[in-house]
Amino acid sequence: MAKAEMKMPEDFLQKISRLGDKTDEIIPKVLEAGGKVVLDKVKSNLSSVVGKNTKIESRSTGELESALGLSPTLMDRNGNFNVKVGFSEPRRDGGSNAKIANILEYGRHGQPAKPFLKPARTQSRNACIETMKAKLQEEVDGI
Amino acid sequence: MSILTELNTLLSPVLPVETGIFSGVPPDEYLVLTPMTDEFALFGDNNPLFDISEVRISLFSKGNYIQRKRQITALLLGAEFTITDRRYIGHEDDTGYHHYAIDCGKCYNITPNYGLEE
Repeated sequence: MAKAEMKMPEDFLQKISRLGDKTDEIIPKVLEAGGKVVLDKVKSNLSSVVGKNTKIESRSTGELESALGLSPTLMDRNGNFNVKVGFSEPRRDGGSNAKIANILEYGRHGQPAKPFLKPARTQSRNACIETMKAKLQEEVDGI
Repeated sequence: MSILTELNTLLSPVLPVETGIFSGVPPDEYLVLTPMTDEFALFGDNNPLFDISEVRISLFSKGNYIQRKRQITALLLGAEFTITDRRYIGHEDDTGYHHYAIDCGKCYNITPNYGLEE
């Protein structure tokens, strides 16, 4: 029986091994790079809707916008890394930023919806994917 | 045809529909359309070939909203809309309305003369 043996280049094998060791360092960096793109879009959308076209003069304090941020990368119970774009709680008056954001996003009877979260997801998806791909390539090249 | 025109034609026989906000005295059940996104997709010869539009349909009902939700969902699916989200927002205790949101989208071909057709 003929026997063939193929060997990968030594430096390539070492890179693969190092990549495996550094996965837990690289993934959070990649996710944070992508998360920042989404966060910027959400912030921009929120700025363009908050306090605009109100029936009475806007009493916006800017607290909702300043509460918007990106969570640190955390691993969930299934072993997947996640970052989240959201609001820090509570507000200075003890109220909830999430509640105000929800009313802005979906509106109420007599108050028009001003969607800013859902459009941000659609608008930033491609840019987010491209940024994460570039960041991953940069990290892999640096090994 | 635009997504708003198509939704108005589809839903106005079911419930009163307006875009943005309901003007005048609102009835016990009504719909509000809120345009969300318009994006181009699939480019060829440096031109977009498709226009993807997404709209949020807000259902306000003082009665049984579940039947209306099913009716609207069936109509949207029958008209080949893509439903991207359906969500019960809550009961507004001060106004007595149930609020339900249905997000839907549709892809329209862009013809060479930039007129839109489905």
